[in-house]
Amino acid sequence: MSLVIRDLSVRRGDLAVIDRLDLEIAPGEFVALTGPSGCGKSTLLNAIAGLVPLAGGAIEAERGSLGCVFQRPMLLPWRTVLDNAAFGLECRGASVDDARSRARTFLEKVGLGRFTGYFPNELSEGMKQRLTVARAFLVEPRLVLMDEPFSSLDETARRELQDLVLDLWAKSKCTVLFVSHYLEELVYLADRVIVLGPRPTTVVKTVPVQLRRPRGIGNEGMLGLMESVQRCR
Amino acid sequence: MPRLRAVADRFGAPLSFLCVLALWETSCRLRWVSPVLLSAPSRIVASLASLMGSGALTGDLAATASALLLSLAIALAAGGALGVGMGLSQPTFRLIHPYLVSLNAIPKVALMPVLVLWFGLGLPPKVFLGAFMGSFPIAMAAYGGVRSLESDLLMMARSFGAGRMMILREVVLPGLLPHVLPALRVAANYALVGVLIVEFFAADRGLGYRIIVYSSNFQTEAFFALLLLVAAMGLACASTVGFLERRLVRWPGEERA
Ligand SMILES: Nc1ncnc2c1ncn2[C@@H]1O[C@H](COP(=O)(O)OP(=O)(O)OP(=O)(O)O)[C@@H](O)[C@H]1O
Ligand SMILES: [Mg+2]
Repeated sequence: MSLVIRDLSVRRGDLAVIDRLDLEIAPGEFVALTGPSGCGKSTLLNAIAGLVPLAGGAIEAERGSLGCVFQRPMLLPWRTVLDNAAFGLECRGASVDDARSRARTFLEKVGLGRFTGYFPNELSEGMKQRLTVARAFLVEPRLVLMDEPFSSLDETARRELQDLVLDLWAKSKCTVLFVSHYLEELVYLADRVIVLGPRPTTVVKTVPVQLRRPRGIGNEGMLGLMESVQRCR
Repeated sequence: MPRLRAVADRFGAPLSFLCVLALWETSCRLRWVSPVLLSAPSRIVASLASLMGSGALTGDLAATASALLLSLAIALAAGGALGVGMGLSQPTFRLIHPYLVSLNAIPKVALMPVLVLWFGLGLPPKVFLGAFMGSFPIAMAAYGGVRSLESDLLMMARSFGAGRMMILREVVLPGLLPHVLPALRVAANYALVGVLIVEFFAADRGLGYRIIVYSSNFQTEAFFALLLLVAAMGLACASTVGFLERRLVRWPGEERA
């Protein structure tokens, strides 16, 4: 297993946010996570990333690095595109030169090669998120956590980035846990959709998505699956 | 008349300055005011030139400048540490902030007797008061800077496994610069005032000390020459900080003060 969560409870202050949640994710699996607003999806990802303390239970993740993409880009405004991309590698102990040269090659591949000298404030929202995806995948993560990364983007940019993520995932064979509100996005991307209940949250239902890739928007199977996810939300 | 407007915009300020200077010069030359009370600008500049040329002020200039630089360095370190500490922890803020505010509310001149008692004469009391006065704006700016720093950025850095030093060096400090550098400008002014106050009352060298000596001897020209020198010192500090700001804070989207 790439990620095993057993009997997990998390509290924020006096609030019980996650209540005895169990979840297992296989290596290389692409899992999408959805649930009512405020139920604790972000809290779950933060707990997996070790950013919030656990009130009970355990999280066991495969050893290796972690890549996170959040809802907002969280770029460092004083770093250029290149240096923002390199930031994750630097955090993991790479030398600045090494991190930069790897970031440069990677940015070329994801279509940001011409913008390495730009600052985040000079980028469109879509480019910013493209950069954060690059930053996350550059650390060669075993597990990638994505928290509604494309929810503020327009349709076109979202499509492009979804395909970019699928591409990077397929090439790197990493595990992805992807939070989204969009039914279509869930079913387009994931091998499995997990539906969480209202707070204090736990897993309500798991919907396997056994559709071949590449998947099309008009795919009949997709519509059926979208309905079955919708029913248990 | 847009033409006239443009001309006025461009030359108005320097012209009016020249007028003031001319009026000042004339009124001194024609003895409308007594030379004991006010010296002509030309004489002030001449006096400054001869004082500097003769080397009479070198020791005093060095004394004041070194006290000022030392004060600022200490104010930056101490104020910065206090501000960052307060910004990172609310309990620390509640503990320290009342002291900062009440200490800052003391009229600093009132500290003179006890400063001499504690530190004697010379460099230590100057540096103490200069650093004391300079710390406050820096602490408050660093505090505001840390508070306005997106906690999300810290979270992002931690998610990549960044250590404390990495976070401090690459996230906290760059985020603080646009807040702390403008405060450094203010702090330089405060620190200069602190150093001068001590030199007025309890020193045997320094520009403040010279100002007192010249004024009590009615050496009006030299007195004004020293005022000019002190003003130049303040300006030099401000433009050095401005230079640093332009060099260090130059990413787009950051409004400069
Ligand atoms: N730092 C915090 N301190 C206190 N409470 C928090 C904190 N972060 C989250 N919460 C609370 O925990 C609950 C779950 O929040 P969380 O952000 O995990 O929900 P979410 O499912 O991601 O919601 P959304 O769909 O809006 O992103 C919310 O009620 C929120 O108020
Ligand atoms: Mg959320």
